[in-house]
Amino acid sequence: MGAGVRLPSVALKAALIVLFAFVIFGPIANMLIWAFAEVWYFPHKLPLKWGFAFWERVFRPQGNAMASLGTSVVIAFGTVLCSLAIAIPAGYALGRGKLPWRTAFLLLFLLPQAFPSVAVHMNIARIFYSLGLNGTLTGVVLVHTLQGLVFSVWIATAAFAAVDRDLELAARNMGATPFLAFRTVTLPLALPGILASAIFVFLTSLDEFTGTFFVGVPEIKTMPLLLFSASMEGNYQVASITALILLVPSILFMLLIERFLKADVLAKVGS
Amino acid sequence: MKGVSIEIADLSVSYGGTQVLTGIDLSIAPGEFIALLGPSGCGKTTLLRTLAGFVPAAAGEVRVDGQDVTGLPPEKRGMAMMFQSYALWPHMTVAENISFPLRIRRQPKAMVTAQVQRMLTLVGLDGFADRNVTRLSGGQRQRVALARALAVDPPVLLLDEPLSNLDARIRLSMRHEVKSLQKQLGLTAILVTHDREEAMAMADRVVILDHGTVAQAGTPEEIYHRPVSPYVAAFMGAENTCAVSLRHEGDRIALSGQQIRGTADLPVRAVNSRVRQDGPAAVFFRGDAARIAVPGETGSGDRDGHLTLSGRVSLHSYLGNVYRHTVDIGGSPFLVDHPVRMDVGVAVDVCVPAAALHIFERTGSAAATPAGEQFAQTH
Repeated sequence: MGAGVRLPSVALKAALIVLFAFVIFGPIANMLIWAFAEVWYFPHKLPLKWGFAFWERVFRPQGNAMASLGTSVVIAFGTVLCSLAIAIPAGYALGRGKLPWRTAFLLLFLLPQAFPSVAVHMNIARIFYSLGLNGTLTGVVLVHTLQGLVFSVWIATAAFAAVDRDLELAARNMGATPFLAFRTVTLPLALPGILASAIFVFLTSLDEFTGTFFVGVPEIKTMPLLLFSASMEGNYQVASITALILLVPSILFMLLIERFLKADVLAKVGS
Repeated sequence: MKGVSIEIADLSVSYGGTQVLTGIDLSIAPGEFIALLGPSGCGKTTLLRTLAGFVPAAAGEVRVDGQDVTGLPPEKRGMAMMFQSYALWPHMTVAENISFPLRIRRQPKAMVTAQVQRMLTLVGLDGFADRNVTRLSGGQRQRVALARALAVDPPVLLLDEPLSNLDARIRLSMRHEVKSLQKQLGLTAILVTHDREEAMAMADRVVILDHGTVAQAGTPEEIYHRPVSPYVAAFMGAENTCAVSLRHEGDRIALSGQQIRGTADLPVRAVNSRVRQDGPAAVFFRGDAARIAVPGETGSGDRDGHLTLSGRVSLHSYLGNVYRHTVDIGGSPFLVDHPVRMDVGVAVDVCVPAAALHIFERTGSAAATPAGEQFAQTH
C-alpha cells in the first residue's frame, strides 16, 4: 500500500515543482530570448535571427541606459541611507516598547501602502511641486524612502526588540553612556536584521516606477522608466536588455551585504 | 579598591502604579556580603536593580560611601552587576567581553591585555581569551561574567541569582569560589537569591524580604534560630505549625492544644517566643529538629522540655541520610525526619525540643503559614 500511495505523491510533487519553475522561470526565459533576438514574429516559436544588435543600441552613448542605471543606483543608495536614518532611531524606540501608541506608530508606516499608489503619488507630486522638489533627486529619494519605510521600520523594530535588554544594561553597568551602549552593544546585535531590511529597501527603490513617474519625470530618468517607455514603443528587445541590466546592481548589492554578514548571521534574522 | 558602605534609607519603588518596595532601610558595612532572600515577587531583584540604577526610586535615598547616588545613571554608580542571564555580549569574544569596561575607559592596550589575563587567571579560565562566549558552558559563562564584573576593580558587586542557572554540583563549588573571591578582594557584595541555603552559605548577613518590605535582617544564625515572624520561620524551613494555647508560669511556658499530648512545660529561655501574653498562639518547628518516638517505648522523663504531638505515619521518603516522614496529626500533615523508617499507619509521637520551637501570636484564621509548600526545599 505504501508504494501505491508514494508514487502519486512523488508525481504530484514533481508536477508542482515543474509548474512553479515554469511560473518563475518562464517569463525570465522569455525575457532572455528577447534580449538576444533580432528578428522574431508570430507564428514562429523561436527568433528568426539572433544577435547583439540591440545591445549595441542600448549601450550607445545616446541610448541613456548607462546614465539611467547610474541614476537608479544613486537613488537606491540614497533611499537606503535615508530609510536607515529613520528606521534605526524609530525601530529602537518602538522595539524597546516604551513608547505609548506603539501599534498606532507601526501602522502609520503602513499607511502609504494602504492607499492606491497612484493617488498617493499624484498628491505627493502636487505637494513636491510647490516645494520645488519635483524633478530633483532629493524628491525621488524621499518618495522611495516613503515606500521602503514600512519594511525598514518594521524589520528594525523586530531586530531591536530581539536584543535582550540586559545586554544593554550590562554595558551601562560597566560604565558606558547610553549612546556608547547603543553603539557598541545594541546596534551591532540588531545589525543583521537592519541590513536585511536594507536589501529590501534597495531592491524596492531600484524597481520603483509610480513615484518616480509622478515626481521625477522628465528630469529624472531611472531604469524602470526607460524600461516602461521601451515596452510602450513595442521594443521588447530594449525592454528585456534593460531589465537584465537592472539585475546587476541588485545582485551586487546582495553580494555586498552577504559578504559583510556571514551567512549564519543572516540565518538568525528574527530568531 | 576596598569595598564601600551602602546606606539605603526609606527606599520606595513602584512599577507602573504598583508599589514594589516600601520603606526599605538597610545599612551595609564596607566589605560586607549581604544576601537578599525571598520568594519570587518579594521585590529582591527590584531592590538590586534599583541599587544598580536600572529602576528609578520613587522615594528615599541610596548612599554609597556617604554620597547620594539615587539620581545617578547606572554608569556613574561604580557598581558591577552579574546578571542572572550573565548578559555576555554574543558578538564579542571572552577577552573582548572582559576588556569592555577597560576599553571604554580608554586604558592603554598593554594594561588592558594584562588585566584581562589577570582576570582570566582569577576565575580559572586561562586560555579561553579568544573563545566565542556562545560556545561556553553555563559554568564558564558565569566565570566570564564574574571576570567582566571584577575587571575594573569595583567597590560594590551586585549578584542577581548568579548561580541559579548552574547544575547542582557546580553551584556548590561556585558558592565558595565567589565568596572567597569577595573576601580576598574586600569588596561589598549584595546577592539576590531565593535559595536559603545559598544565602546562608555565602552571606555575612541575610535580609529576608516580604512583599517589598524587610521582614528580618540578621546573621544566618539569627534568622535561622530566631525568626521574628511566622513568614520568616516558614521561609527558613519551619513549616510545621499547630495552634496552641499558651500560658506563662514564672520562667516556664505551658503549651496545650488539640494536637498536643498533655501539656508541654518548657523553659522560657530555651524557646524562641514572640508572645508576651497568655492566650492563643501558633507554634512553628522544622522537620529536621524534631524526632519520632514510639509511644510507650521510652520513659516519659525523656520528653521533659519537649513538645509532644501524637499522630500516625502516612508517608515516608528517603533523602539519603534520613527518612522524611509525613505524620498525620489531628488531620494536618507534619514533616519529620528520622534515621529509621517507620511503617505507614504506625502511631508515633513527634517530639520537638524547646530550643527548636518558634512561638508567635496567632493571627486571624487557622494556621499562619504564609505560603505553605512554596517554600518546601529539600536539603
